[in-house]
Amino acid sequence: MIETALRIAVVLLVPFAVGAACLRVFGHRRSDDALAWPAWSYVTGALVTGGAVASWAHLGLPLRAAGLVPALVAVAAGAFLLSLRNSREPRPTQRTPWPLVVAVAALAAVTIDRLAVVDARAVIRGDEAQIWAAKAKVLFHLGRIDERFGENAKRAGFVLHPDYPALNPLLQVWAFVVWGGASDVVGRIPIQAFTLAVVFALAGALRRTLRPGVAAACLGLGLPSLAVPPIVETADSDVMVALGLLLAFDAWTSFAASAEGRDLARAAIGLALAAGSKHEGELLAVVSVAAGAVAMARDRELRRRLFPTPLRLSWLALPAAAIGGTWLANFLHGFSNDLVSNPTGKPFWVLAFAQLPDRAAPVARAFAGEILLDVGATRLVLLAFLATCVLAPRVAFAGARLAPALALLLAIGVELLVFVGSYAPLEWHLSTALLRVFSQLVPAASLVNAQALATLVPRFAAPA
Amino acid sequence: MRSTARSTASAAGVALAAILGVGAASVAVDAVRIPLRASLDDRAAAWTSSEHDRVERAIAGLTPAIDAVRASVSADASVWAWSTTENAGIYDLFFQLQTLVYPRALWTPDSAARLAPGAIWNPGFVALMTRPSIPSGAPPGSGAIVLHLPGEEDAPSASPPAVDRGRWRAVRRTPIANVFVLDAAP
Repeated sequence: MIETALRIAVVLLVPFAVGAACLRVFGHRRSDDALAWPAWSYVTGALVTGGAVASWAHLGLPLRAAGLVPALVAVAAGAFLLSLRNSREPRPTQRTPWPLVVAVAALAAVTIDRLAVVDARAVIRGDEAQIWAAKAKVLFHLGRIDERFGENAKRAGFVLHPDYPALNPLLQVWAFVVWGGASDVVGRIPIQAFTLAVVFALAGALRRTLRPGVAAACLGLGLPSLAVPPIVETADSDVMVALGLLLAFDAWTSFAASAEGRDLARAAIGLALAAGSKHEGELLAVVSVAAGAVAMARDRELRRRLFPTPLRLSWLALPAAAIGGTWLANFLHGFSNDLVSNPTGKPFWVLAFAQLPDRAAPVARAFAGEILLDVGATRLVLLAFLATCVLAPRVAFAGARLAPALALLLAIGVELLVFVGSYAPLEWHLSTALLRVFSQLVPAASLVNAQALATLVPRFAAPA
Repeated sequence: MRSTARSTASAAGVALAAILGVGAASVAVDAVRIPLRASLDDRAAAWTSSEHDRVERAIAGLTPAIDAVRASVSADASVWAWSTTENAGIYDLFFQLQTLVYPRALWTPDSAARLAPGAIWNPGFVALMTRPSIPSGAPPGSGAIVLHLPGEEDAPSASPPAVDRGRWRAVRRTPIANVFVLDAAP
């Protein structure tokens, strides 16, 4: 029992420590935001851990805890030592207001409880088994990434979508390494940690936006762990995408106010998480960058302030690497995406155009009934966002807020288009994927709504 | 003009606050209701079960067959699985078996068909389930899992097909699945 607890602690705390140390290098301290900092740290560390496992496997080094754990601890120590050269004075830690403390504690407890109850059952069914855990098991049993990886992933149809981004399977491999074997349960744990991280990331972001009591009331709106349909009861990657987008929007907001590169770094980390987790995350990262570019093009003053030198754009290399890494791996291992290389032989765009007359109405109906108006599924967060866009566009798209709001609108449009252009039977596709993909937008939309609410109802706004 | 803009903004603020208020009220209800779905026993199992018990809870009744495969079929061998009945529920069991016996390659009657994207929507896939796909000349040490109706473990239909029949040795017969291993030719 104690050994089990210790191994699970290592699975979670090593990435956390690595992330906290790396954030220090960029100038981020716990005192910047005591609530959100644990989430930022875990996400950053998870990206580094995933990258380390991938590098380790490419080099053919043995996937054993005796090698990988000390290596990551060394990375954390090295980053911490490097951060000591960063002379920025830590901000004084602000006390977290009690309404938020109570809300975060209660909702974190509900989240942990829900995730733990799920773990009473092994990972054997659905996408978590056939896509994510399957890919992790292939890599762990093979022990390295070489030309046999592609063959093994495709053998007997074991991995359903081997082309999907690898961060989730790499983190499951990390858990297997620490566990000492390809567990049918433990691979879920580093993925479930993202669901808990959403609680802290959103709480921190809301605290900076709304009065404590209003922030506490709004916190539950954006939590996947409180959605009634069981979208978080798996080791699927949807929550990772959702958290990545939330972090990116939150960091963008801070960046627009501070113009500090470290906030832009955090936005890039969020987009890299989304892009490294799922193909939808790649799309969301691309539309977010495109929306940011539109915002910069429209506001020259903002562009001058935020990007005094083009060098700052180099942070985009992080999400670009996440997308490029997936594409390169798919090319090398011969994986193809079923929506792009579909059995009809027609390109996605041709299918989308041809199917638009038949599918537009049912897709719109499903989106309205199962997403916008389903209180248990999305807490009306996306409805509230669209209502704000229509009723108060000057508030919804004001200044730096243009980028997140435009990104959300583009994301909704692109996601709906995927259902129109899918080669799969529409009813099946909608029933298995509609809620999952739109749940990826809910935490970020909650933050965007909170920002609009703070402007429209100034007495709800956080004290300056 | 300015007062019109102000009242529009004010109406938008009220609308936004009202929509979010409905959402927040539903969160408050579900934050209490969701934890009540699980019993204390569920929580005890969640925090203290062994991995074997967690597998058993997820795939009730099939763990003896899985244990038998894991014990008697080497990790680099193939396992063929089929069912004596046509049932979409059993089709899902193939996927679950595949997950649990990995790294052994689990070949189901429709593995080849499933490799083609879109095959899952072929209404004929259920009919494929009862068609054993063991190739002639399978290497010794290969395994076979036959899913069958409860209590039919001794029925002839729950045995391997004629191919190399004399060499298939039953290593486990359970109420819903039989496991066989192919011995070397004499």
